[in-house]
Amino acid sequence: MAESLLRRLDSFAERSGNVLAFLPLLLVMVQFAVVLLVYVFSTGSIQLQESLQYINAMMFLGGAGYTAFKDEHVRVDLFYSKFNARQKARTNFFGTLFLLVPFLILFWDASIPYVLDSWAIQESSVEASGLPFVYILKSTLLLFAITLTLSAVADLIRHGRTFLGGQA
Amino acid sequence: MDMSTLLTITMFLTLVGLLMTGFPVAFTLAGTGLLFGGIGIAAGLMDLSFLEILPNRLFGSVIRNELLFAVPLFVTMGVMLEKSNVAEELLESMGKLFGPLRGGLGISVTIVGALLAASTGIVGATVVTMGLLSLPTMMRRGYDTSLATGSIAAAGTLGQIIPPSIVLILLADVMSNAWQQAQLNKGLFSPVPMSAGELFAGALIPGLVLVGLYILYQVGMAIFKPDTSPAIERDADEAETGLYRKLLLALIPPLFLIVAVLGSILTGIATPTEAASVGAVGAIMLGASRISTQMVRVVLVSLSAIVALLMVANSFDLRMGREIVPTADRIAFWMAIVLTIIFAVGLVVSLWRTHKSGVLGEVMRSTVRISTMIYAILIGASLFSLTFRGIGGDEIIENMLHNLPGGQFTAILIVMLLMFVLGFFLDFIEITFVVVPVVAPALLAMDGTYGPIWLGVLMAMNLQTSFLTPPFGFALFYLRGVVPESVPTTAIYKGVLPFVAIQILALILISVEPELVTWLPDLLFKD
Repeated sequence: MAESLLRRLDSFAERSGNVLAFLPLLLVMVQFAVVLLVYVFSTGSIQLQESLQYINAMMFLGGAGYTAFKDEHVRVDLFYSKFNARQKARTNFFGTLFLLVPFLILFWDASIPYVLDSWAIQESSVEASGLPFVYILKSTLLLFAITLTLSAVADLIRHGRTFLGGQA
Repeated sequence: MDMSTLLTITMFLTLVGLLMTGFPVAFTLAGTGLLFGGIGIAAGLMDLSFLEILPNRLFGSVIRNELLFAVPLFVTMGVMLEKSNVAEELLESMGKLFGPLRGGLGISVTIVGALLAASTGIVGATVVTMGLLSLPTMMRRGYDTSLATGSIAAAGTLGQIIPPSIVLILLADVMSNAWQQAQLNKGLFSPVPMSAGELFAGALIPGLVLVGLYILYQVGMAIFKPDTSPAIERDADEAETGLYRKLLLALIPPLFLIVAVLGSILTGIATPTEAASVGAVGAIMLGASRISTQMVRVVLVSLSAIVALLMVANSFDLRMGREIVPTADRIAFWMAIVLTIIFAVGLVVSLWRTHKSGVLGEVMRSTVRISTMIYAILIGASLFSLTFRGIGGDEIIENMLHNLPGGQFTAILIVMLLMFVLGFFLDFIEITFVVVPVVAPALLAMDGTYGPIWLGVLMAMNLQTSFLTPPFGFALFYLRGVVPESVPTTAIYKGVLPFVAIQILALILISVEPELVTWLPDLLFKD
């Protein structure tokens, strides 16, 4: 049961990376288009400019779980690099349980009302000609919560198993 | 000692202790922040609403922060240059160009390190790349091991201080907030802003001074201790003329790209974010041109289209929304459209070819991970500093710094020493997000400091020195990982010490001669 859940979570994280990879490319292209419009055609589009916020937010908030899966959230590895597999698993298990999980609870608890409030008023950009989807932009915060929660579950299973030594 | 002071101190110590376990920094910051938030609430120092403003905080100063878009854009540029072997060829060509001179190889390493500043800006990457690429050659050709490893470690850290580096962008963001706050605290309600461009300009001369001093040292070694840095004889089979042509082809495009990006920021033509997107597009095309001679032609055509486009834009008014548009402008507009399409086709072909060779996907996935890693630390640090402020930590630090005997000089010295020590186990990014927001407003509010640009550059160079200092320096750890076992660690330490001395010299230099930092930004940005 736990085994197949872990496999699913990992494959989700891996595949999410392939989707997320389009976002920085899109970011480069849109920002470059903005530059061309401004410096060559002397026009600007606030909507295009604002779309960058959406692209960027989806990338770094949606990428939290993928990055965790690839173990690329930076660590202070003064001692960690010398740990054996079991000590590493123990660090990650307890770290996830006592540092990450409480933080995620706060994050969910604080962002859900924040996002719902925004949806309730169909919040629009402060700029008159901006994008009218601020509630969607704010909802990207939930991407962070979702992907990290899934990753935390996967890590608890993975590291719990290694550090308890059994097959779980 | 009152409750607040006690909590502030415990909070910092707990953070350091938990970080030492090796759990990811971003989540450790967030978890510690939350833990002490809970304690603060229980002790009646703050209430829960203090923590619940987190999403609003993140939305306002992280998601909507346009300066930070420059991070993924510059990361794209750096990773692209690295993965398409542009960096590698740059180092190789430089080595061939300067190798026949005594000490030339070491000097090439320094110069390439400086140029790669645009790359990821994370110490490890540059040190590892250069260690893998140049150390084997240097050792095979009989370079002194200490000198070789020292040069590589030092050159690897240059990427932090020489703009356009990512850490300078992050530092600029934090510093400009601190600067605003310091002015508000003083009762100035229309504070003077500080931009990332200004910090870049401020860091340029000190960075070049460092490069110059490094090279001076390497030349000195070549003259006075010739055995340490032998000349490398050119391979006989390489025809002189063909060699120079190849060298120029490898050198000029990346140099041009880096100079164009940096130049447009420093001259105030473009914001760092805008310039970064140009750099990223340039890096993609540069990478594509390495694939085949056919692609070289495609890229050259697109580039000519861009140059022509800029010329058209300069000579005609292309705004079509005006009441009366002269025929000449109208023709120019359609020409510009055609040129844009030519360029776009070239770009699409470049993207397609780099995608086919598998480089593009790898670069973009890597960009997602590096950018997310940086942003995650920023998110964790936001919660940490919310709590820190909630329990009154920033006031305590401010009072402490303001009441030191010796005033501003001692305060800066103590902060610098603290950051130097923290640099042994924390990366630039964490220190920027956690320590700088706490100490910088207090320091900037004191009379006699030379402003946020000077302080920022001093901090950046100080950290860079810390990363180089044995036995804990980050750069040395990374280098140790790629240096063969046969090289004793003491040789690395010995080799890097002269460079540490140079760093300290440069730090003293910019402290007594602050104009080294402030002159260029004043010249470029103040009218």
